[in-house]
Amino acid sequence: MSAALAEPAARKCDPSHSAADANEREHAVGLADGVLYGLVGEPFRHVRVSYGGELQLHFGELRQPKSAKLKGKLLYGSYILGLRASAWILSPGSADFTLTDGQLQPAGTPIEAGEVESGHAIPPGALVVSAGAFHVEPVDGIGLRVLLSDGSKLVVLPSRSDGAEGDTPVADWELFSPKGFVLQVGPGTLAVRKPS
Amino acid sequence: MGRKADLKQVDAVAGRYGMTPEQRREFGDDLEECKRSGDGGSSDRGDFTDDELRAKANEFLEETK
Repeated sequence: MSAALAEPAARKCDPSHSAADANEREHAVGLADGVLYGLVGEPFRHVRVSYGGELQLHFGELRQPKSAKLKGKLLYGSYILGLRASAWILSPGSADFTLTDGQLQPAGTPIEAGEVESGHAIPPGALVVSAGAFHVEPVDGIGLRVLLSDGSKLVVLPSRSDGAEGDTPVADWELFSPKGFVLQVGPGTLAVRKPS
Repeated sequence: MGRKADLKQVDAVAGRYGMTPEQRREFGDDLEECKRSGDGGSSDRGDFTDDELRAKANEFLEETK
């Protein structure tokens, strides 16, 4: 992890098209890539659908939750990727179906997100081959692409703002890392939060 | 209620109770566990109302101490 990421950072993605804004977007993508680099080589563990239908992918070493209430009930990966307000498509490497959050219409047969929890979609232990961020021009947000060693592919696209974000905008996606850093992406902002 | 609205509602309660991002995530998992075990809220599909979420947040933080 670079020194720049050790400090809290917040970057605004301005929708205008000046060179400074292009640099800002490039910087934001670079910051995201810096955190995502830690995910490469980590084993996929499992998928869980959390409250609100948020898909969470767990990677790395398994551990108990910090909450005493959840201990013994759930296991967490040392890296947790939460697909919050984003649209996403998950194409398991060895399956002839595609999972989607319902906002996107992929080729193939979409099935419900909850079905992926059954564990037959992605084999536990498949390694992350690559994980990278990219700028999505139409919504001026940051997407995510993850490839696994079994051929599974995940593409995450930032949401279009509903114009009513208020005081509690919901991140498009976020990554919790083992040392407590949290990468929160969108809407319009990228932040790397230090451990509390 | 849609996914984003549900998450926004949880984030608002988590923010009101000063939860860290990790606590907020575990709180969301706790809510889902409650739903799945039949201890869901009174809204559609077992979702929680604002009042129910505040009660759940109190309970979650108390049991997390």
